[in-house]
Amino acid sequence: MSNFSFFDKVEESLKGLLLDKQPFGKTKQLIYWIKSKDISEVSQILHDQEDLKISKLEDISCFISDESLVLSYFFLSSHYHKQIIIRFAIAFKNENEVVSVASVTKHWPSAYLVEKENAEMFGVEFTSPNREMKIGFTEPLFVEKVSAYFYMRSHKGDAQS
Amino acid sequence: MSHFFEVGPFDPVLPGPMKIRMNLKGDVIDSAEVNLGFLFKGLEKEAEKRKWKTVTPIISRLDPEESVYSELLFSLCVEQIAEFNVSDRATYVRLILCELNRISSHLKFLAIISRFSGCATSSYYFLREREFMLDLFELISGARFCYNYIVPGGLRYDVTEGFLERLSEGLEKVATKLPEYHNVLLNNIIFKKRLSQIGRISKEQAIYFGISGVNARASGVFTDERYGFYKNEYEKAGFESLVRNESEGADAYSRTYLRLKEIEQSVKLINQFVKFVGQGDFRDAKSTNIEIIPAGESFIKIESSRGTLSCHLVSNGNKKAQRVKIQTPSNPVMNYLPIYLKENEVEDLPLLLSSLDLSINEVDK
Repeated sequence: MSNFSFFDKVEESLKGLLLDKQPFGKTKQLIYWIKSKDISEVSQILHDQEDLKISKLEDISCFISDESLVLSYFFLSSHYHKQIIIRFAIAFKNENEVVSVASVTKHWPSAYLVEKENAEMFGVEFTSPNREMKIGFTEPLFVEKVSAYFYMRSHKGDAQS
Repeated sequence: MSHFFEVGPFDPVLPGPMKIRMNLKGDVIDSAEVNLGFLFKGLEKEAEKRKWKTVTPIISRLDPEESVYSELLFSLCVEQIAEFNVSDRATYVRLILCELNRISSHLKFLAIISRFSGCATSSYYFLREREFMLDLFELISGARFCYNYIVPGGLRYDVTEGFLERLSEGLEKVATKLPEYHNVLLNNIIFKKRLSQIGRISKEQAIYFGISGVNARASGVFTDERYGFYKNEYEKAGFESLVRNESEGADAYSRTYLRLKEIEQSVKLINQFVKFVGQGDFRDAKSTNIEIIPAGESFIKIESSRGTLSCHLVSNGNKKAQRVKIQTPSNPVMNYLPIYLKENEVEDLPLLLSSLDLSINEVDK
């Protein structure tokens, strides 16, 4: 399958769920933008779609941009040596707001620890995780639970200094 | 009769500070629960707080045993965003160090597993050769761990005079010892009986949990990032990934066997890479005084000795990184650990854990 047809197939599979697509950095990879509420459905489609042969969720990366939290999911099709990057942004208004995102560990158990890391670092709540997973952080990573808004403010301060 | 048993957070059996809570039925583990977070370093956040040129010493602390990989990973991410040109000389020296680190890491693995299996004498043999590898790192970078040698744009300084000669000498020493390793460890009947049939990982489980590196390749999963970023260089050196094809999945013995074979392979690869190290700049002149990196992002993966190590780097054009997100090969294995330990005997716990070559340093980054 060529580069062109692979991404065509991805777009066809995720039809109706994609908001936009853009190149990833200086590479030939594409970022597919979706709505945050659709991540569970998208992860299920990518898991069930046998043509794409997606074998792994490599990473979930979270960062703050323009007063919103941006989450990127890096899926790998090891058969075609292609990466699919799914991204969405969540705007938050105040420091007490808890940002909720559906967990993808039901289909991709390798995401379990990464979701926990992001939850503790950015205050994102990943709802309905896979109950079979039995791993936890005994000690909280930060002394108090950090909301995304708090983190954004402290991070901006660092960047300016 | 079932009872409760807890190991950790500090125990010589464990690969690092962690806690394993187990419910036992007799001697058999009925269920296990893993707790992490005792070694949290805040490494990603620390890297985001520092200016670009001072990040490398922090990143090399990801896992002091494998500093070469973390330094290389971060450098590749920066180079992709900033478009630095890395010379062939610097590239091949980087690859030599990667393979040297792989040998050193696998030797440490063999030393640990041979000690836990009761073959204490052979563990000294592995440590003896590993010392020579660490001497080579000291010669080239001045440090035995946390080298701070690979930087964005190339190398911090050129290869030390006499390094390549000492390298060849060291590799010859390891190559001549390899048959001895096979005899004292892999052909040792006690070692064989102790490790066979325990800690089996099926191919399906390895794929489902996203396990990479030797742990996956021993189970028959073709995953090797040496075919990724440095594909051309590795293929030029005649590299072929070692994958075992076992229908019932890989046990602890298979994983040990594959690591020993990888040492053999790395020796051959370094001998090839040495031939390609020509003359040239060791560092891109543009990269010597980095203040600002243009806005952009990159996602790079490399093959460390434990598996796929990846980094997502985001720059917003400031003096510091906006986001440094590292995913380590031990993370997916940690997700799998409670299932892996189930239905094994508790007396095998040291061997079960050590055969996975876990690093808590990487997990609690």
